[in-house]
Formats: sequence, structure tokens, C-alpha cells
Amino acid sequence: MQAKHQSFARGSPYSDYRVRLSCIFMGLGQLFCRQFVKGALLMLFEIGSILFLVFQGVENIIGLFTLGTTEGVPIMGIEGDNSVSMLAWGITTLFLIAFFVLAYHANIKDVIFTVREIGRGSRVRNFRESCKTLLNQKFYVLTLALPLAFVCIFNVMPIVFTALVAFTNYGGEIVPPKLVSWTGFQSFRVIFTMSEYIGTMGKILVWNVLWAFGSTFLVYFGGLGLALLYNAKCLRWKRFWRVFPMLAYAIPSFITLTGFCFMFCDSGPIVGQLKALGWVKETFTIISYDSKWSLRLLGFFCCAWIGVPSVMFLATGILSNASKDMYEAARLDGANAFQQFLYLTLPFVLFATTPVIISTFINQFNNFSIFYFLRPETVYAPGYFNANSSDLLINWMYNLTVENGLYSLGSALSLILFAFMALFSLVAYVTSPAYKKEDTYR
Amino acid sequence: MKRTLFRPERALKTALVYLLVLLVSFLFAFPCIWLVLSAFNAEGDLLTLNGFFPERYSLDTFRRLFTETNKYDYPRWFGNTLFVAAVSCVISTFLVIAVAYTISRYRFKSRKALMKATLILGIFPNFMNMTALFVIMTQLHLINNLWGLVLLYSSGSAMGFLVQKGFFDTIPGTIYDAATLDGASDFRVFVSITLPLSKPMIVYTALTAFVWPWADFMLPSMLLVDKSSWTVAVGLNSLDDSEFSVFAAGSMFVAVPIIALYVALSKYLIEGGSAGAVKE
Amino acid sequence: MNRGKVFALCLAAALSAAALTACGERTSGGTFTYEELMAKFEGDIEQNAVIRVLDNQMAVETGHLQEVLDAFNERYAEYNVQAVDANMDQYVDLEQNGPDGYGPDVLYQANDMLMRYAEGGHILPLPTEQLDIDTIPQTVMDVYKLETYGLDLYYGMPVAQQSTVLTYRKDLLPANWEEEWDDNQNGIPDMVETMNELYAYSKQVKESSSGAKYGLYMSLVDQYFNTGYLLSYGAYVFGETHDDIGLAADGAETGLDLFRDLAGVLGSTCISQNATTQVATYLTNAAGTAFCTIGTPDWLTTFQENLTATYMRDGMSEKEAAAAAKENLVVVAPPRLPKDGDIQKELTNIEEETFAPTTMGGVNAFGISSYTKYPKASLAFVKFVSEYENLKWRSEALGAVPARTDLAEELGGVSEVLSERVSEGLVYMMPSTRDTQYIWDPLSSLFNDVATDNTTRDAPVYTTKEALKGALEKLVSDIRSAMAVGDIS
Repeated sequence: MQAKHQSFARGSPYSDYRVRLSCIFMGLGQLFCRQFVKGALLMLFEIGSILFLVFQGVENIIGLFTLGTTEGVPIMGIEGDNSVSMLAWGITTLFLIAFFVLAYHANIKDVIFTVREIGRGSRVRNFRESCKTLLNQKFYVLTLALPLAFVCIFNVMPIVFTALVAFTNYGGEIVPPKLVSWTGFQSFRVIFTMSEYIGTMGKILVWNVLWAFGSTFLVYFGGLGLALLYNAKCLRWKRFWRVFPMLAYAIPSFITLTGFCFMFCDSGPIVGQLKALGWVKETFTIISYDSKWSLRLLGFFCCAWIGVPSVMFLATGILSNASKDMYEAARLDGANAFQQFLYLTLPFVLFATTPVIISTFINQFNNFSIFYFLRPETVYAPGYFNANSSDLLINWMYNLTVENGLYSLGSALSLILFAFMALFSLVAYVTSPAYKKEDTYR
Repeated sequence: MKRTLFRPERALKTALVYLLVLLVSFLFAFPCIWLVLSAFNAEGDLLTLNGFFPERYSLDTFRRLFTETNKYDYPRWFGNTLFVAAVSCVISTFLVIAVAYTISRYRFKSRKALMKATLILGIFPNFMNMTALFVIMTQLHLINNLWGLVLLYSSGSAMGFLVQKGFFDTIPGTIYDAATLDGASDFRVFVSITLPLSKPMIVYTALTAFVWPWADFMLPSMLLVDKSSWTVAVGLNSLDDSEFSVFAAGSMFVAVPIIALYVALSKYLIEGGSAGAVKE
Repeated sequence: MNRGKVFALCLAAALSAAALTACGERTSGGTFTYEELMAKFEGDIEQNAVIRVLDNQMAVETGHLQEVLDAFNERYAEYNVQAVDANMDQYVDLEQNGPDGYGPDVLYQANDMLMRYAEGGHILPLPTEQLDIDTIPQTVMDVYKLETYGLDLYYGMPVAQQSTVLTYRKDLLPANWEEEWDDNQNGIPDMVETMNELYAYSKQVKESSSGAKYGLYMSLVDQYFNTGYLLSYGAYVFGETHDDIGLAADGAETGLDLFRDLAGVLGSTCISQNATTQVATYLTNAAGTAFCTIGTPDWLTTFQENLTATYMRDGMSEKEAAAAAKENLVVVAPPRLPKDGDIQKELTNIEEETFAPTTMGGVNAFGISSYTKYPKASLAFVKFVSEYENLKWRSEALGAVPARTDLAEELGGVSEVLSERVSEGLVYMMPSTRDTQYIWDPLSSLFNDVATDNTTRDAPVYTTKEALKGALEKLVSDIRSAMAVGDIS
């Protein structure tokens, strides 16, 4: 026995019979290593998985390919195949299979580890000890398992679902009980060939990029400016003054935006007062059917109102961390306030908040609520297909899917949008100093 | 002691600062005051305002808000919102802190991959998946179910661990090493050392985890079909525009608790948010 | 490395095998006879059934629905039936929620919605021989007819008519209206009789109150009611086929021009869906902000309630106020339109120069969801609400105009006005087909565009008939694109 184990330490681990057994059936090798509880649990797991696969899994996978074969007749109470739920279950099954493969892999690694331990002459861990490692070296498995499962079900799966829907004809008239089928790249073809789509996409994309840069800039530097203002030495009752931006920070944005919409609409007080004062023409309007720039500017204003305070509080915290000596030295060197800001404050804050800028940019790029609440009525402007001139891509997508039920087109659009965003932010993030130097602070 | 002399440029600067602060305060306060006063408008709709403010004030809107349950079951919506927000707050805080601590403290093989994956997933806005979520939730029979929302908020917030991770990064590793040498298990280290040190971070996390479900509109509007399961955001947005006062009054009860929380905990908010961001 | 390749190959093989099986035949419905289709309604109603009823917002808010539900539950107490308020948004999508069991069992909707569901198989054809439909005009029943499996089936039990009427405040008429505003001396104020006079009066009211008051007040973006101006001058929705969209037919631009002029006098506050609800305040407040409105008769009850409240605030007793409100809110047919479309000119001969307008109309009905577990109880409920007495109850409580002619006659007033218009063929029933859903958004955009053009736009573009014609042609092409996309997806 002993000699055999010695040889294993040098040769391939797969030459050991226990490792081979575990490759054949999960847990078998563990049983032969006298880890009975663990082995039994693993075997039960494999049996369960196989049973699931035989009785449900295969059917689900086939369903993923066929998307249903019998059409239901609801008026006769005949329940046919529901393509959409078949798609969902098919994806779930794929996820489960992937999980099974991972578990199998882990099982083999585990038995190799145990066999090595035996080879070194250590005592085999019993089940209690195995569990105990979970609280120590493998603590991360314990804490990450549940969140990971959650994220897989409610974040990753929907994304896969959305991505797959882009390659079907789901939507419009093709909704259950009708059967959905795979149509390849047809949705993308429609988006890129129908003049309505490509034209609308171009216009919206330009505005969307402009919006994302503009609002990020506004929110970020507005917040920074306010933080500096509230940090001024000559200002008293700082805590009191900070309550006001706190108001804007705290009020849920759906309330703020609906309130602003009422305030600036044609029958609202702002337009009314301006007209009463005679400062504007009778035809003056901010939120109307074809208002483009007035509504866009209002969007910037509301976005600043909502977003500036959070950056301000962040910057306030960061500024309080800035070293006083540095400023004292600069002052002695004769740097004025502006120079101090430009050469000391700004680089420091910029460095510290790069991730914040990126996440602000992503959030602003996909800021759905601003124009959803500011233009409460669904009206489509001339030259735009199912969209209005102030809509961002995300609003357009909402119009296509939720308002008009064009799911496959909306999904295809979100894939395009996603590719665009992922590329941008990955490049931005990976090249950011904060990411490169992550470990230098430890 | 040196007496400070009156210096015109300093006085000018002070005056300028106060002027700006006053202006900013007005900009932030005015819409809020306007909304609050509109809630007391006797006539009830937007166009009866005289200039900016109502002509006659009354408490009638509030009476209607809580009694006309045929039109708007506000008490129920409020209860639903409170339930969802409170439960998701507890679960999310737990998850986020656990994940952030793990990612910050442990070095394991797929750590960087996990962080990158989180970033990529974060780019995909939640409701690009609305249709998919709706389908998944119907399969799980969680439509019209407040627990469904709780699940979604908890899983969604688990992805937002980067700020908290940044905070845990600032706790020096030597503390852990000392404790581990004393023979404490990692779990004990977490409970008895990390948690007490990160009080501001936990408050910050809990607060943000509470506010998201409290103020969210999109998810509940998709997933809650039955009016009795509605949250305040969905309910208030379903109101006719001629019910502006009711909207304003309803909003007050949503906003005031949050404002109170924020003001009371502003210290933690500033510390927590920036501590995480600085060394993210 | 090698193992990975083998695995990949195996996976690929498995997938292609699965893909091959996917090519199997897809089966669909089959055909059914009338008896087979109606079999589910045979026999006694289910014990302990719970049916969710979706009614419109007004029925819910006034509490009428709850009373009806209680009455129904009481009558069928022996079966322990429980009809409950579905408690959903009135426009909840059955297509999305029904298949998963979250939709209502019985739903009250307009014909374009219900028939869209019928085409998708989401609602059940009803056994008409069991329903009381003798006194419903065939034109109204036809709206709910759909050929399925070679049979003419009816998918809804028509309850209420929808179309446009004009409602005005008699106490706001100028004191000298009989001299100044009744040129043809027929005892009907001219401003509620023809659009030209209404236009002139609105202009006068607006100018003399410097914009604080309105003659006519209505939503300029209500695509449903405003399409009537196009229809009156020769437009139609669909011709023989759905490829033939007639909203830009010759003459429609005249109607659109008239609408544009009307927008000019109404002003930008009416370019909003809010205006539809806003009018309930304006028409009934003490100041008398609006003199009249054009819209659905459904609002009459609300108007009366609001006006009663206003009068009571002025010191009347409740009884007096209610009577005065009923007396002072008068409903008439929508005003006659000028034949040449020019509403700014002064009319000399009303009969000669004007015609009765065509308005868009629809029929609201109760339908039964295909996904209900209790078809018999649901049918019992539909039968219950369509009983003569209960329809009358509904009409009185909600101001709905009944689809039954005998009831309309008995109720008189607005019901009679509308019923007459239907029988004279002046109500254009909106097409009961799925494709109708594609016309509303483009129409809404058109009315927004044209109304904005004459109110808040600095450089108006629709000043010529050609420009208006262009707008209509664009409307049609927008509808076509929407339909095309709906087909592809």
C-alpha cells in the first residue's frame, strides 16, 4: 500500500483507483478514503442530478431547441406548449448542468487532495473537520454561495434570456399561446435595415452619448463645487446648510421628477409666471409634444438637482481626508486658491473617485427615469420611430418592449447597447489608476 | 493674541460664499416647499394654484388620502412599501457586507474574475431584463408577491458591494493576522473585529439598501398586477394628474421618513460613502 | 486539452441531435364545432367559484362595482359563488397576464381591446342563444363578431356605447343668447349647434377673460375623439383589407385644418391627456372656467356630482343643488361642421352650410377570459350584469349609454342622443381587430403635432392644405411601419 502511494505522489493523480472511482461516480472515491458522510452526500447529489436530468432535464433541453411543438387552444382549455416558459426552463437546466459539471470537478479535486494527504501520511479529515474548514480557509465559499446563487437566478439568467430572445420572433403577434420560433439574426437585420430603426437609433445614440457626458460632467463638477463651497472656512453653521442638499438627496426621484414635470408643464406655475411677467412669448413652452432642447435642458437641470448632492457628500468626505500640510505648504509657496484647487484638490479627488465617475457615467447613460417622468405621455416625435426627441436608448427600449410588446427587437437592441457600454466601461475601468493600484493600499 | 483686522477682500469673499450658499439652498428647498404647500391645496389640482402657491389651504387632501380607499388604498400601499423596504434592507445589508468582506479579505482563484463579472453585470441595467424577469417571476409564482420583490432587491444589491469592499480594504491586515494567531476562526474574526470597526459602513449600507426599494418604481410596476399588492411608488404614479394634491400629500409620507433618516445619519453617510470610494 | 476537445465534440453532437428532433411537426389547434366550443358553459355553475371581475375605473371608484358584486353573490349564494373586484389597472394586459393565471376572469373593455384578445384566443366566444341580445342593434353586435373555425362567433356582451357628445352648462349661457346666439331661432343656442359659432364664442370668451376662461375645453390629443374630424370629411380607418388605410383619404386634410383652427382657440393647456380629466373641474367650478366640452358621455355623472358640490358650497341645499346640476348640464349631439371646413367664417344658413359630423365610436362589453377556471360562473355574471334592470342600474350610476335600444329610449337624454346617432350611421365603429392598436400612437402624434403647430410653435408648418395632406400621408406610413414591425416581430 505504502509503496503505491509513494509512486502516486510523483506520477499522474489519475492512476490512483480512488480518484478513478470518483471520476466514474461522484463520492465513490471519498467512500474508499473512509469519508463516509461526504461520500454519501456526494453520491446522493449525483443520483438526484441524474434523476432530474432524466425526468425533466432532457425534456427542458429539447424544449429549448424546439420552443414547443403543440400550440395551445385556450378557448377550449387545451394547454399547449408555452414557448416562453420553455425558454426559461431550458436556460435554467443549462445552468444546473453547468453547476453539476463544476461540482463534479470539485469532487475530483477533493479526492485528489485527500489521496495526497493520505500519501503524506496525514489523518483523513472527518466530516466535522471538513465543515470546519468552511468556517476558516474556505470561509469565502460560505459567504459567496447564497449571493452568487441569487445573482445567477435574478441577474445572469435574465440576461441570458434577453440575449436569446433577440434571436427569436417573440413579440408583436407572436406571444403565447402562439409558438415562438428561432429566427437567427432576423431582429438585428430588421434593426439595421429598416430605415425607421436605423435612423432613430442614430439620432438617439448621438443624443444619448451627449447626455451621458454632459450630465456626468455636470453632476460631478457640480458636486465638487458645492463640496468646496460648503467647506469654505468662513461659512458657519455648515451642518445646517447641508440639510438643503440632503433634501434633494433623500427625496425619491420619482417624486422629484413628477414634481418638476408639474412645475414646468404648460399649466404649471413656472410657465404661467413667466408669461404673466411678460418675459416670454405667449407660445413659450418647456414640456410639449415636440420640445426638444427645452426638455433636454430641463433634463440636465433635474439630473443635477438629483445627482449633485450625492457627489457633494462623497467629495466632502474625501476633502476631509486631504492632508492639511499639503495646503499649508502650497500657501507658503504663494499658490492662490485657484492654483491650490487645480494642482492639489482636483488631482487628489479625481484619483480617489475614478470609479465613481465611471459608475455615474454608466448610470447616466442608462438614466431611464429622467425622461420617463418628465414626459409622462407616450407621444412619438416626427422622424423618430416609437420614440421622442428627448428619449434615451433605454427609454426607446422600454417603448418597444413594455409599451409595444416588440420583445425580440427590444432584446436585440439591448444587446447592441450592452456591447457598446461594456466595451467602453471595461476599457475605462481597467486603465483607471484606482484599478491598477488596487493592492498598493494593503 | 493677534486681532483680526477688517479686511475688505475677506469680507467680500465671505459675502460671496453666503450669497452662493443661500442661492443653492433656495434652489434645493423651493421645489420641496412648493410640493408640501401643494399638498395642502384645498382645490386639489395643479391649475388652481395662484401663481406658485394655493389660494386656500385645507387638510382635506390628507383626509382623502387615508379614507377614500376605493380610489387609492394609500395605507395599504404604504404598508407594502414598508414591508418590502425593511425586509430587503436586512437581507441586502447582510449579503453586501458578507460579500464585500470576503472579496476584500480573501485571495482566491476566481476573485478578480468575480469582480470583473460584477462590473459587466452592473452595466446591464436592471430593467433591460424586465421582460425576462417577468417571465422568470411568473414561473416562480412570485407575481403579485412582495417576497418576489424582496428577492430581486436583495440579489440586485449584492452586486453593489464595491464601495463596502473599498472600506474593508482600509482595515489593516495586521489586525486580522494577530487575531488569527490567537486561534480565532475566520468567522469569529469577522464577527468580533470587523463588524464593530465598520459601523459607519453598515449604517451606510443599510440606508442605501432601504432607500432603493422604498423609492423604486420600475420593478414593482412590472411585477405587481394586483392593486392590493402595490407599493406607494406605483400607486402614486397611477393617480390622475388632476389629483396633484393627493400625489403631493402621498409623497410627503414617503419622503419625510427618508429625509429624517438621512439628516440623522448624515455623519455615517458622508463617512461611509467616501471611505469606500477613496480606496475602491 | 484533449479531453476538452472530446467534451466539446460530444456536446456539439448532443446539441445537433436535439436540433434535429426540433424539426418535428408543429401541431396547432384543429377545428371545433359550435357545440364543442360551448360545452364548457353547459350545466350548473361551479360550486365555490371565485371570479375576478375587471371593470373600469369609474365603476370601481364610485363603488358601483362592489354593489353589483354583492348583489350577484347574494343571488347565487346557494353555489357559494364569490365574484370579487379584480383590483387591477383597468388596462391590464390579458395577453401578458392571462396565460399565467394572473388576469381577470371577467373583463369590461372596449371593442378594439376585447377583439384583439379574441384574435389571440385569450377570451371565450359566448353562447349568444343564452344571452339577451334581441334589442341590441345588429351593427353593435357585429363589432363583436369574429369568424373562428368557420363559425360566426360573438366574443363580448355589449353593454355600453362609446362616442362623442357635447356637454354644456346652461347657467353659463350669456343672458342674451336668444337674441345674439340663435340666428335660426330654433331654441337651441348656436354655439352648441355648429362648430363655427362655438369657435366664435370660444374666441370671444377667451379674449374677454384674457385667457382665464374657455368656451370649449377638451383634450386636443385625444386621438379617439378627434379622429372624428377626419372621419367627417371622408377619412376611414381600414378599407377592404388592412393594407388600405384611409386616414389620408381625400378630404381628410379639410378636417385636419378645421382641427388646427380649433386648437388655436383652445390653447396649449389642452394639448395634454390631462385635459380629459381636467375638464371635470373646469366645467363645474364656481368660476365656470369652461362653458362646454366634447367627449365621452361617461363623464356626465362625475360632472353632475361636482356641480352639485359647487352649488352646495354656494349655499344650496343638497336636493336643490342636485336638481339644479341635473338641469344645468345639458348633453347634445356634437356640433355640426361646415361643409367647406372653414370654421372661422360667419354662417348664413345653418342647414345649408353645415352637416352632422361623424364621430369615432366603440362598444364596451363584458368578455370572459379563456384562462378562467369557472366559465359557468363567469357566464352567469355576464348574464347578470346584462339584465335589463342591472343595465339600467349601471347607466344611472355611471352615466354609461346602454347598447340596448329599448333601455336607451327609456332613459332618454344622452342615451337617446347617442342611440339616434348610431342608428343614423353617424358613429363610425372603431375596427374590431388587432391592427387597430397600431393606429392610436401615430394618431396621437399627429394631433399633438398639428395642435402644437397652431399654439406654441414659433414657425408653423401646417399652414397649407398640402402640408396637412403631407402630415396625413406620414401618419399612414407610420401606421404601416408599426404594422409591419408588429408582423415581423
